[in-house]
Amino acid sequence: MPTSKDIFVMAEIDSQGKPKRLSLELAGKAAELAAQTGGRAVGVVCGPATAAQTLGEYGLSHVFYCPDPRCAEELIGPPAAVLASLIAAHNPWLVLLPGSPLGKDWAGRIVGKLGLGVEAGVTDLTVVDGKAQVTIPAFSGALRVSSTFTTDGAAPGLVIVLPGSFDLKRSGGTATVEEVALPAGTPTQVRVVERKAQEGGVPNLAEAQVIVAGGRGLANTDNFALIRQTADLLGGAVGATRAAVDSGWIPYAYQIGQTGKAVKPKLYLAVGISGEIQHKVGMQTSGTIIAINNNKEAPIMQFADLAVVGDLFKIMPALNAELARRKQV
Amino acid sequence: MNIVVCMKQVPDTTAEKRLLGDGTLDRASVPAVVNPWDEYAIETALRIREAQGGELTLLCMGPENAPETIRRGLAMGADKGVLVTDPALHGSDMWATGYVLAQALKKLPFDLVLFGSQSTDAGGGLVYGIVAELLDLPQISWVNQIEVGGGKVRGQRLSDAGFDVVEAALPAVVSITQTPYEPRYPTLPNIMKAKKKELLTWSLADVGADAGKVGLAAAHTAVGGTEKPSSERTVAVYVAEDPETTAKYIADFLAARKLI
Ligand SMILES: Cc1cc2nc3c(=O)[nH]c(=O)nc-3n(C[C@H](O)[C@H](O)[C@H](O)COP(=O)(O)OP(=O)(O)OC[C@H]3O[C@@H](n4cnc5c(N)ncnc54)[C@H](O)[C@@H]3O)c2cc1C
Ligand SMILES: Nc1ncnc2c1ncn2[C@@H]1O[C@H](COP(=O)(O)O)[C@@H](O)[C@H]1O
Repeated sequence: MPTSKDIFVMAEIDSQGKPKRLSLELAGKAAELAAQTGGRAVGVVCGPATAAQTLGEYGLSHVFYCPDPRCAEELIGPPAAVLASLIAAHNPWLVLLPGSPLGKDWAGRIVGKLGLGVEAGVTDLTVVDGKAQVTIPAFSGALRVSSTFTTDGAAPGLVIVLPGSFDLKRSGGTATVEEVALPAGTPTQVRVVERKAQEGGVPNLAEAQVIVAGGRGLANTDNFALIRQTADLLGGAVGATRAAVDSGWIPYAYQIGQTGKAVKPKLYLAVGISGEIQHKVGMQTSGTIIAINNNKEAPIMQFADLAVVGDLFKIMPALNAELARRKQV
Repeated sequence: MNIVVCMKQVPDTTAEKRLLGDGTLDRASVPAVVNPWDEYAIETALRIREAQGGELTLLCMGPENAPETIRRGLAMGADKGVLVTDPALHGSDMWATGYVLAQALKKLPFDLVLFGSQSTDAGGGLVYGIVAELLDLPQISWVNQIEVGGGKVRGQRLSDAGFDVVEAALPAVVSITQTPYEPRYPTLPNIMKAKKKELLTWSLADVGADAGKVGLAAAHTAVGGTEKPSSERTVAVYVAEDPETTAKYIADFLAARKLI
């Protein structure tokens, strides 16, 4: 049976029950595509009705929400079951999912359950001759691949999108919201038995618009205060290299790179970071990259927009003072 | 405790990449390595085996030349390897990969299956979810610490606030991220020992998988074209002057780009 023209968005919420930024980016994109193809932009969220309403403000015309607490307690199974049953009932053309750990978890279960096609790590989505075409950076960013669904229009296609791929567009609309129940018989397989807070919090690197990252050049834990201050002044988050994490200066949750997080802020300020390939692959698509390094031969000095050659211990305090001064005027 | 670690052979991140005419990667042209995330899974499995005994099997779906890469995992200390390889697998998509691994797992006794949380080439983070769904197993993912005992597995999953401690009954599927401990480096004696370890090669027929459901022809997605992204950045080099002047220069640069 051919699919409808609808574009579904599976949204993820934060601990306050609000849709995350990436989910809102997806809502805007779905609305734009729906306007082009004449389908509907439909949301699915496992959370409160208010989350569904927010999604409407970002362009979705219809939002299904499932407030069942099992969705949060069991993380993966129940939300995947909710989405799978809605996909089966509505047969959408595309389903956009956030390229976050949870988004990938849900997508894996859906692909296994329904045997659908999936495009992962997508940074762009357009319609070419009525078919969905995606762009995917591949092989650590060495290549950019364009790909389509061989099943386009015949079966729903899942598209997993990286943060920062689409602009945030608040259209101020209102969605028709509809409560749905967790499908009967959804088994309990996994339970969250404890939630632990990381001392000092966890940075939301995936969605940060400004990141100030530090590496081995910072020399110890205490010196991270220097870049924490810069991040605060710029309204951004702190990140780190694996060398800093391995040295025990900062938790793994801050690590950017191949075995850490991939980020795409508008500004990436790299302080005392060499820019080895395993770090580069996690941040190379950032908007503006500024590097501060006392070695002008460091790899990062080859792919930054601004390469400042100098001692970070002299520059950072002065930069913090200058940023603070400009904030006041 | 019998553990299977699913490990993928990936092109070395640091090497030059080339494509074949059909748009797939010319994997022969780049050195292959164990997916770095999977090394953490192997190390985690070795630690559980050392504490609790049992057998550790590596399972890989990959090309004919994959045994060399699997031997590296055997040299780290795994007991045996299984390679599922078949000409029909070339160009398989995510679903097909999950399907073939699930079929192979049906032939292996296990209490726990470990995965890396994503591969450095596809980066999907999807395969373990597909396998878990197909085998109807619980899935704990993105954890950097696990404990097994009493018929259960507990893992520490990164959350927005810190960690969620998640629990499931065995048998279960678990995906591992970078752990606080480093994967061990194979020693020379262990590299020698690994050469004598059992390494089975299974075809699609051996695992009872339907060849019509895998490979390029059955894939749900098709690569249209590839390009090398142009490195558009022009680097402005600024050699620091006195700190205040340098700070002003950087702030002006930010202001010019409307970043402050
Ligand atoms: C499988 C694998 C996965 C990896 N994954 C990751 C990953 O996810 N993320 C990651 O970051 N790395 C990763 N790495 C490690 C990576 O290869 C590099 O070792 C690491 O990124 C280096 O971190 P760094 O830049 O902080 O340290 P270094 O390479 O030591 O660089 C420090 C820099 O600071 C500069 N510096 C020193 N003092 C000063 C000063 N006073 N003022 C200004 N500059 C100064 C130096 O010139 C130097 O360029 C991985 C490696 C492997 C093998
Ligand atoms: N061809 C494969 N053979 C064995 N394991 C695989 C294969 N592909 C993926 N995996 C496993 O699935 C994890 C996630 O891969 P991916 O979904 O490709 O990001 C990897 O870290 C491996 O543990």
